[in-house]
Amino acid sequence: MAGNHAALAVYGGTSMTDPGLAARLAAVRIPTLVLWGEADRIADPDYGRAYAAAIPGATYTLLRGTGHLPQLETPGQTLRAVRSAVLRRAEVSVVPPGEGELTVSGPVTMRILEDGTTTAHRLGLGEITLAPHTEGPPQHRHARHDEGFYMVAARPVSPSVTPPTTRRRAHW
Amino acid sequence: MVPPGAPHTFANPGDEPAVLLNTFTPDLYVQYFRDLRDMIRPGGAPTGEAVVGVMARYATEPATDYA
Repeated sequence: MAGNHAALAVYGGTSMTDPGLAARLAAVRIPTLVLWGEADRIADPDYGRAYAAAIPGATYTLLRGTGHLPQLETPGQTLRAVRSAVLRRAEVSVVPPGEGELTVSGPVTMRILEDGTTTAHRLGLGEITLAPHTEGPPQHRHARHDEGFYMVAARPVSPSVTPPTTRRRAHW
Repeated sequence: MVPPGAPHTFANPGDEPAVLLNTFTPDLYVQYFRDLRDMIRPGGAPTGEAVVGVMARYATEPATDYA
């Protein structure tokens, strides 16, 4: 953390303003990738878009689920984006067993395997683990995306009926 | 597969944890799970009202088509 701040001070200086920055950006003549946190509330994505637009030929990429400090908040996603740009080719995304971002809400655990970063938002993929004797979410319908479900593991349903009062409600 | 507009839900009535793969095309709904996680305390569970509120952010509404 301390090293990060020291490095930022070297690149950005200690002042929060730089009136000459926009003009200098226009003079950049090397291939440039501008990465910006989609959830950055200090300098929002529109600011980033303008920053990238000021650099001739720059590529602008938003980082999902990321705020003002991508290198600390989503280092894996950030490095993959940088590597892809440097290597000038797409890179595979691998989520090893037991890894991946976890979202836990009640008896439901969702392990995010692909959040759309690698697929230009065409596909998201998650592994859901649902505790025994757990009801699903309220019945619902989506308007703007398809969902697929594929059961990977589960024991056959027990013949004994579980009283509804012992069931826990889960939400999706 | 669940196309847009199709009412659905599910549950695990069995004695063992169920593991399932869930696809989203496009990726819109992934953020719903992050939002739910971030709004509840560790070990807690969201209320139905809160869940409906989060669903609404991602073009999703409650349905009552099936009993």
